[in-house]
Amino acid sequence: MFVDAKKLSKNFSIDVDVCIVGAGAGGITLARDLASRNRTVALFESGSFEYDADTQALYSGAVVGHDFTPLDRDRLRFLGGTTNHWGGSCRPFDALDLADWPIGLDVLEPYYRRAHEICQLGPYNYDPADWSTEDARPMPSNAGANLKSGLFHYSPPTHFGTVYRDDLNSTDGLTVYLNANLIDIETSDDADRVTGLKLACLDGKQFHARARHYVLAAGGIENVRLLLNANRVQKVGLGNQFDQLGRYFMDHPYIIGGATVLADASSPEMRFFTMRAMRGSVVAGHLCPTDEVRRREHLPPFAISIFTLNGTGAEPAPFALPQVLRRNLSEERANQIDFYLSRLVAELEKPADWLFNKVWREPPGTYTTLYICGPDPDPQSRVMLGDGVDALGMRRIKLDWRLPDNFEQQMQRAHELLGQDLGRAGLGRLRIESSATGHDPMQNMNHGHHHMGTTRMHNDPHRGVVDADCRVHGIGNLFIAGSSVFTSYACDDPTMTIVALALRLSNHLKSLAT
Amino acid sequence: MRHSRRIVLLWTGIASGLSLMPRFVQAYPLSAAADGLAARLRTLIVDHAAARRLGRLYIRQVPAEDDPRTLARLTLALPETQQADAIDLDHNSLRVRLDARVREDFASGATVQLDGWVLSRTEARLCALCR
Repeated sequence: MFVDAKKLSKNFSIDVDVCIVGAGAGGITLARDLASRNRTVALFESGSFEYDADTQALYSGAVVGHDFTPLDRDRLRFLGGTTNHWGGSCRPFDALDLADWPIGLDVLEPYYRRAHEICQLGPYNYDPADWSTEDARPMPSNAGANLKSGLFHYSPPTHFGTVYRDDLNSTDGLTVYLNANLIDIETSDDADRVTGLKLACLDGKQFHARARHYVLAAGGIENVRLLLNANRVQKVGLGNQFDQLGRYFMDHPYIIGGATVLADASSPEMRFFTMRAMRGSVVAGHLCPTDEVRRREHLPPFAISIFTLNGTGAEPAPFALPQVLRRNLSEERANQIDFYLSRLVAELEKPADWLFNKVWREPPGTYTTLYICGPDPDPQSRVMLGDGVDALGMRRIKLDWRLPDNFEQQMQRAHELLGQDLGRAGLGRLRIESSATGHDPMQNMNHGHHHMGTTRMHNDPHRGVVDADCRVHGIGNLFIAGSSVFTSYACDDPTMTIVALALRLSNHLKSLAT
Repeated sequence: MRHSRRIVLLWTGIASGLSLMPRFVQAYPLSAAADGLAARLRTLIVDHAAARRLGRLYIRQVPAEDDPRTLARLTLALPETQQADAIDLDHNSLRVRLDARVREDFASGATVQLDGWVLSRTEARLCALCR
């Protein structure tokens, strides 16, 4: 059921099996799953059912590193959390993505399968070959190819607060407290156990909650803020005895327009990149490096999607390809490219009769790329406490997001590898855009609004904040759910992995309780 | 479509013309054979303006290849003694051979970037022949 915390009596006290702070993808998944196994659960949500400016303002903070969306716009603080504006793209981490994690794909995979249902996706199948049709098929995976085909599934997207609202309301043993903000985490004298939570409403009302287990599921930035503010016993912040808390912050940088591709728009391989609905799912192809290339080239995990620029043979692009595209990859530019190079490329590609029949009957397709990557973890990229306090007296956050110095070079190399594969497959040619070509893609750099890594999972407390069970090192009953536990970042929207990890944490908590 | 017809006509016209003047080059010395091969390869490119632009960029990157005979030899990777034979190839056979070279380049990573375009080294050399 839902309870408006503003209507609780003064000094109201809650006593349950598990307290969860934050009702986004992780918190809602965990709460539903635990409650379905007869655990009593209190789920605390700072906001209510809808956006509220005063509540949202609690997210304000400073950005001191790389350009970043203002922190009170990058996340959403009401039921469902940031799923209220997520894009829906899903793909599980692969084995290499998880190489530095204390848990492997074999551990996560069963939870990914369940997460698929929760994210309202079709069959759990990411083999591109299984999503081929006569009109759309993945690029040939020749030996020696640099890139391999991959597949994104697209959630509707699931807005967890809307889709699971009735379920949250009706599940026995589960109470969702709205307008309930965590303002302190109370611990034993040596901070080896959490003894209770202190919560408050924006109107000043305060109340307490106690449980056997506590879970922070407030997001990759807010989890850190809550722990750093809980500094009455551990002065450097709870779980921060080795100065790891808040470090390794990462988002997924992405760039539209890193390259222009000229290719035969009628080829099934190019059509594989467009979004298609089939077998109860919506999917789109992309390309990512083979494991061998990632190791050899020291490249981060990345994915390149290819979109039509001139609309030839195209379906709607999978993303809202925005003004960025129109501004930088205009019709004028496409014409210019056609004028001096598309004919040449076509000439080089195939004999004359083929040209006449295949290419010149229709103009060659002009495409652009979307490059997204998960840079290596960097301890200097971090979330810290900043100046000033919010309306509840909590210190605000300061974000110093850092990207590798060679980010642009890595992106260009990724596109060069794609260009080689396109040529090898006889599909077309690629131009790497840069300031030298007059279309500097770095000006279009954006980020995925995915906040990861700040309470990273590592067996060594000197290198991470939580252990393989998502338990905060040194604290027996405090756990973290969400992308802040990611040890490394892959290049995928984190939501499905957040859900999978929440299901796994639920299993762990159930085992502890019994 | 207007462009396409023009290109195809140009291309086939040049190719037909060449097929009428075949074997005399074999009697020429090796240097003349290289010249003949270079000329023959140039006919594969119709849009010389575009090729010239890229060709100049390639030579700026690899000045050691600033010689049509060298370029012709490297484009098809032929020993000098076989260059004259290559001149005899019909248009399509030459294209097929070139096509194979291009694929090999891409497969082995033998690519260059010219004005941002990722091209096979063979393509780049072909463009350089059109300067």
